[in-house]
Amino acid sequence: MIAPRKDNLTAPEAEVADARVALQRLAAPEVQAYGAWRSFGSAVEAVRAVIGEVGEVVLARTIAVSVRDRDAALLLTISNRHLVALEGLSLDANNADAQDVVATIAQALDGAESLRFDIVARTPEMPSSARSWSCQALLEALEAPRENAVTPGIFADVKALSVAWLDVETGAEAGAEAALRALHHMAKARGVFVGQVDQFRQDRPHLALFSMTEQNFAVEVSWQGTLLLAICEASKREELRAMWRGLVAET
Amino acid sequence: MTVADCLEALRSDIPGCQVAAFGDVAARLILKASHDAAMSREKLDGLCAEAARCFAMTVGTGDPKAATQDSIVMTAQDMRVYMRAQGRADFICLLCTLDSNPEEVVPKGVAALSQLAGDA
Repeated sequence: MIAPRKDNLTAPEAEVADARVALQRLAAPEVQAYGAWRSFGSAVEAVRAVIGEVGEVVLARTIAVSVRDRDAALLLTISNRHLVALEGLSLDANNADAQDVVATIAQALDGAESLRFDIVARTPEMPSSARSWSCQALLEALEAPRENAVTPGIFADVKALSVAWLDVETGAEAGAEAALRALHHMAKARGVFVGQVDQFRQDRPHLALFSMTEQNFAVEVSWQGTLLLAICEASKREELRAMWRGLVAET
Repeated sequence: MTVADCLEALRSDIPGCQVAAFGDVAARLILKASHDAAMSREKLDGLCAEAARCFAMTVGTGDPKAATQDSIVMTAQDMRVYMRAQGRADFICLLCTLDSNPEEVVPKGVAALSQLAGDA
């Protein structure tokens, strides 16, 4: 350790610590070694990292995936870029397809955004079943919404509560011309922004309320790739928030 | 009162508040934040990007006479509240619990924003 110069003022300890962590992150390789905590921008990115780990392993390994501040860990047995066994999950491996596996992993991670990967066995016992899931199949399952996915009722509810709405994917719309013009303006600004900024992911479900005027506010609902923009009267704010909390509690 | 003191006081004044941050959407940076040790830089960067997106979407759609703008983003896990003075790039971000009441949170954030703008 280098002793500080006597006559030089130094930043407070908290700021020095912040700077130290920032420098360490800057110096760290893009793909970090096993045994280090890795943070992700969203829960989906964390699931993607687990699947990415499947794609990195060729020789048979058992990898433990730990979630920060939780005791339980997932144990993934991987070989030849295929996931061949999972422990720590309630999954009927004989009948599960890639979408089932991805959904179960996501459920087990439970929204976690900080994970650690450790190799726990280099010569793992391989299961007798021939069933396995390739990295590619898991990635495709992560990207594709389930065919039988149910669009939640919140889209219909928001439309019913709004004075104008715009389904960004299909272009369907309803409402007064001025309100629709504002919604198209918002959709365009959103598209430009999302294209520029990689940090923001469209796939995270959310309800956003934007202040507009004293009488109205704008709403954005995103769920499984479906995006709805709307304008509602100010009196509907609490109702919308309660609807969202109800949806989250149900799902 | 320093910016750090102001953010610390703001966070402690809102039950369950995990982050109180002051940032700049033009620079896409969180300049100062109050949070616990487990909070990652990536998470703060994500909040800043989300704030920038929210404000970008509402440019030209709101009341130009309004003193402040706010955006509330509810996810499956939490509620993010972004506030800024009209036309300003600097903003305050609060990461709260999903059951937080924005009617209580937003005025506290706006008061802190005024205080920081006064100090600037």
